[in-house]
Amino acid sequence: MEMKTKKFDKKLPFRVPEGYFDELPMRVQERVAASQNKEVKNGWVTLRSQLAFAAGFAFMALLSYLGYYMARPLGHKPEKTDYVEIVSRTIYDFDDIDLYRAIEQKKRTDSIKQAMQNVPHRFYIRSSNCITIIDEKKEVNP
Amino acid sequence: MSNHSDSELLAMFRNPDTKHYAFNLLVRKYQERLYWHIRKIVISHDDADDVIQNTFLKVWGGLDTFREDSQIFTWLYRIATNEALTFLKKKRTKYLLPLVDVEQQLMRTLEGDPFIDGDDTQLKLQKAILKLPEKQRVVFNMKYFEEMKYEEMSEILGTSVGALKASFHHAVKKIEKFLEED
Repeated sequence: MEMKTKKFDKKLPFRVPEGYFDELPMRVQERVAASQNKEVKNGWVTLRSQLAFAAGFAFMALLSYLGYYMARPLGHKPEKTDYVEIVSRTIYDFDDIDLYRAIEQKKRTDSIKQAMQNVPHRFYIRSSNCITIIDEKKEVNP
Repeated sequence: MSNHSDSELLAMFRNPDTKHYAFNLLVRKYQERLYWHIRKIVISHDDADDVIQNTFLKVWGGLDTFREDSQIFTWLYRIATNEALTFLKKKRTKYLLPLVDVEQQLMRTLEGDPFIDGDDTQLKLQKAILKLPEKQRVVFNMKYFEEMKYEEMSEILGTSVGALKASFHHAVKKIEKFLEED
């Protein structure tokens, strides 16, 4: 589309300072270099703050750990889960009499088990007023 | 002026050894076209200088990821246009100015900037263009002064060819009306 008023040429009324386009590339490069330095600086600042945060967190964790163990009562009784302590203490407390008792106990238990195996298994029908034996089975050990 | 093609410049830019050199050549190749495009939007030389530097700074940051499915020239124009329009928008929000006041400010720049020295008819046309809405002003400048194809403008501005034709048509009508009234 052409403008009706032909008296307007397409020349612009603007001008630039002398040598502007000769200097512009150099100034752009300077801006680029400055922005890169800023990026590196920002990166270091970020890393430094992250490291400071991590160090602070580690220090707090160490303080909590030390505080917990320092505040423990002196006559501390080991928990059930302190296996090493329990086992080592049990070994020193062990007595021959305990061993004999344990063997006696074992023998008694085994003989009861043996006696129970010889008793026939009975199957019952339970009704309202009586119990009827319907089968009797004796377990036979191989 | 650089004799390298855009593809050559891009290849050089992707090589760390020639990155800065390639960028320098790219700036030299496109600086004038981009400057005049920006200058027509922001009017003042100092503002145009700021905007073109910001534009090239953005180009530096984004050229690594530039995909060659579009021309580098249209990509540069798109960045320059966005930067110039953002600059005016920032000016408005910074001083809490309504749209009309920014136009008034640009009008005053047209009369008082030391780097404006056209004749009366050129200034009269520029004043008429300044009365257009921002986007329409960009469309008019690209078509009238830079004689750009609608397809290229469409790629730069992200607007359909039909809408651009309509926009230019309305802009011409408005300018003619402004000039007749003046």
